Amino acid sequence: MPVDLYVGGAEHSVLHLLYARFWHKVLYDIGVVSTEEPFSKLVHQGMILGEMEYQLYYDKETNLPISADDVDSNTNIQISTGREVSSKILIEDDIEKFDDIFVLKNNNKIRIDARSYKMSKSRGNVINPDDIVTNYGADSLRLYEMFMGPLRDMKSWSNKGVEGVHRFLNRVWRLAVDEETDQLVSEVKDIEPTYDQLHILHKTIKKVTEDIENLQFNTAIAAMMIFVNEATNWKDRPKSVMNPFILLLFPFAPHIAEELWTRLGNSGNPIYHAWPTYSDKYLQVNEITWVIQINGKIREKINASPDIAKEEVEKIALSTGKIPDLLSGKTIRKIIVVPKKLVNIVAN
Amino acid sequence: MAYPFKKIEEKWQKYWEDNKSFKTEDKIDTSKPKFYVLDMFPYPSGAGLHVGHPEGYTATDIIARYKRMKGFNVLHPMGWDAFGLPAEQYAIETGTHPKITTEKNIARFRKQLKKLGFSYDWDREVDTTDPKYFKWTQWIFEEVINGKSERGEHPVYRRPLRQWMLKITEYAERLLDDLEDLDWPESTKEMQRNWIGRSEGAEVEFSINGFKEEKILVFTTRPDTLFGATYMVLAPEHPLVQKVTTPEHKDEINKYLEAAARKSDLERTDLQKDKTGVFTGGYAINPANNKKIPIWIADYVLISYGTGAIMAVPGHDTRDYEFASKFNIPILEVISGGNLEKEAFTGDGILVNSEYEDFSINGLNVPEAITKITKWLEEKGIGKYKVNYKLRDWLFSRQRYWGEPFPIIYDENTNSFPLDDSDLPLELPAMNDYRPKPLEDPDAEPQPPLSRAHESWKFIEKEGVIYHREFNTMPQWAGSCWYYLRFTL
Repeated sequence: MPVDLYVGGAEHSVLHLLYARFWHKVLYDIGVVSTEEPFSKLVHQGMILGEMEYQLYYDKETNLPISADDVDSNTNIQISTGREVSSKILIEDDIEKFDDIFVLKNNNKIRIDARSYKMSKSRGNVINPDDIVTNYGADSLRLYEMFMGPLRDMKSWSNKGVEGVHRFLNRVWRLAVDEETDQLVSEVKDIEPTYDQLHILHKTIKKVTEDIENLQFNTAIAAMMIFVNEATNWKDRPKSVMNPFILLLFPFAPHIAEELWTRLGNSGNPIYHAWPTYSDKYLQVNEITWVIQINGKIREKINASPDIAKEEVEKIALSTGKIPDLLSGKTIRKIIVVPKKLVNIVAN
Repeated sequence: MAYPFKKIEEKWQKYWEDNKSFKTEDKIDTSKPKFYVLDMFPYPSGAGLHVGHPEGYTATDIIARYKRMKGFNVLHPMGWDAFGLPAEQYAIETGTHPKITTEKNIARFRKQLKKLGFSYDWDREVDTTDPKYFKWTQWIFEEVINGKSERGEHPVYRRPLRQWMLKITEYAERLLDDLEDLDWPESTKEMQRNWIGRSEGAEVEFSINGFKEEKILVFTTRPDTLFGATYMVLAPEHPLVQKVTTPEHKDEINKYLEAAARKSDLERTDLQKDKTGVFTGGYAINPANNKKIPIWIADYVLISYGTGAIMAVPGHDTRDYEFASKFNIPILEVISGGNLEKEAFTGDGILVNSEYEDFSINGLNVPEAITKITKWLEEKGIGKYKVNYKLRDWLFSRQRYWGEPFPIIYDENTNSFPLDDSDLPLELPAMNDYRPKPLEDPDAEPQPPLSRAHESWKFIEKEGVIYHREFNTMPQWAGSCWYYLRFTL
């Protein structure tokens, strides 16, 4: 029986894969195995690099900072002057991030050289998984390594990222457990869920299921985070919604999921429990009324989904009814979208 | 305040372990679909787990748990690729048996993995150094050599070893073709293709001036340039070297052979390196135009690639151009479009200077010329269309202690015999010293550590005949070549 999914690093596997395929074919020829190839599907996980390191260049004599744009990082020579520059490592607090660019917090014109390096003893940037398990738990380590980015991509380690994922698991815990009493919170009840609650649940089931099938674990986790944000605001948390969510979480963070599953009063273990399924009828969204204002005055009303993207509702607002006429000759200064309520167009 | 993760994780890990929650039963409900999800098993190094390990392992664990919940029979095992150099090196330094080091490292890895809650079926754990495991590695080796390998001279001039070579080259075509349908990353498939290195061309026979029987066989991807072949080069190890060398060139040739034997293949074929070579005094006949062309030897030609000999076309091959320029060998243009004063022309163009008697490929472009001359060579019986592979046969012997012993015995005439299945596994003997046996004579056969094993291990009597065992061991690849099958047996 061939391996349906084989996962391992790309670096050292050329010969391993070739030699294994060779022996497999010999064994196939003498009738020991029944397939021509041993590994139907192969995936390489991306390498995990150390924490991002921030390097500031500065002039040796004047001590003034120099933007990384003006420095050849291979030679440490300032491009505009041809002079050698010095550099030092900054901490994250000194830095601001704009899109993919890192700059000095107190002088945004100075770009910082931000890079991650392969983990190595000599560089001193090795993360020991045991430490992460001790400080944050195995579930946090598992979830973080899946949340860092797409499985196949190269990624940089971030302790802040680990803390973020750990906070998420704490929020999951508090959805169900009162930290003071160690009992179920009063919000968790045997109660009929609302349509909105079923809607977000089924949306999450669909997303997590599809993402797991495609090995897109990071976006599956993001979907569960959205669910938890919503559920945290619910006054009533129906068990019939909480239970399927715990099952979705189980493959990623099995310990906390087993514990919550038990505390919610379920018998058996999630491991052989049926995976939750979604129903299309809960994926449809009841439309709500959005108010469209110009300079704070109500001008139009439209019906649209409460989850519609910001750009989408702006586009609809600008082209609806008498809005184009009212805006003609005016310059749009700003469009403010209040989620699930209104669009205010500021124009003069 | 953080949730009590420590308490929860210990509790459930104990529960899973006590209940064997992830065990895959041998007798399964076959009406359900199966899913086999596997990690590349780790080498249990002394450093323990690094953050790269749990990345892939978590991914497969998510899939394993998800598929179980979807109703699949899931197989999700783990094991250890545990032979290899570090434990042997440590044994040499400290005298600690590699098995002890290996067991310690495995124990640490296992403990670390269990603390991450992976849903492995630990009852199926394998360790390539466990005799219960390598019994089957030895068994498969016997199956593989059953017509699939040869024990021959490995072409390392300096050390005439008798080592096991596995004929993976016989599988080159299938290994290449079968990549097509695999759901693998394209970059990995490409690396496999490059390693196999298929190229199409022609095999051409050159006769040798003054000899009737012997021919020099070459493989070329560019038979269209045959008229431009102005010399030939043999690898230093080529069997015809001594034969074609004339008496007045013997000394120089022998000196060159000695020097070449001390270099690695990588050093020899480095493109940057200055080309060296020596004229043998002998001549071959270019079959296209019956011209005499000199035979050289040069170490940039490897005995292990192609036929170990090349026809050199300096006008249209960069390396040959360099070589010919250095040694003042004629450079002939047979494809127009370049400037041979400056460099070799390797592109497509119109054939020139390529006719003899009633045969001509002048005026054709390169692909047309290749087709026509290949057909002509076949008709004349001096060549044929040929596919060549860069892939080499697999040198399967190591002069190490910490590997699988070969299940092979030899009689006094060094005839080899496989052990009977009932004699497997053949275990490693206890040793006090794990170093290769030091030798006075650098040209003698190296003596692997096992050559110093106790007589009772080294020799075996069967039906009144004394045999000795093989003293090499298998490479680390052996155990990792088939471990995915062990889990299913």
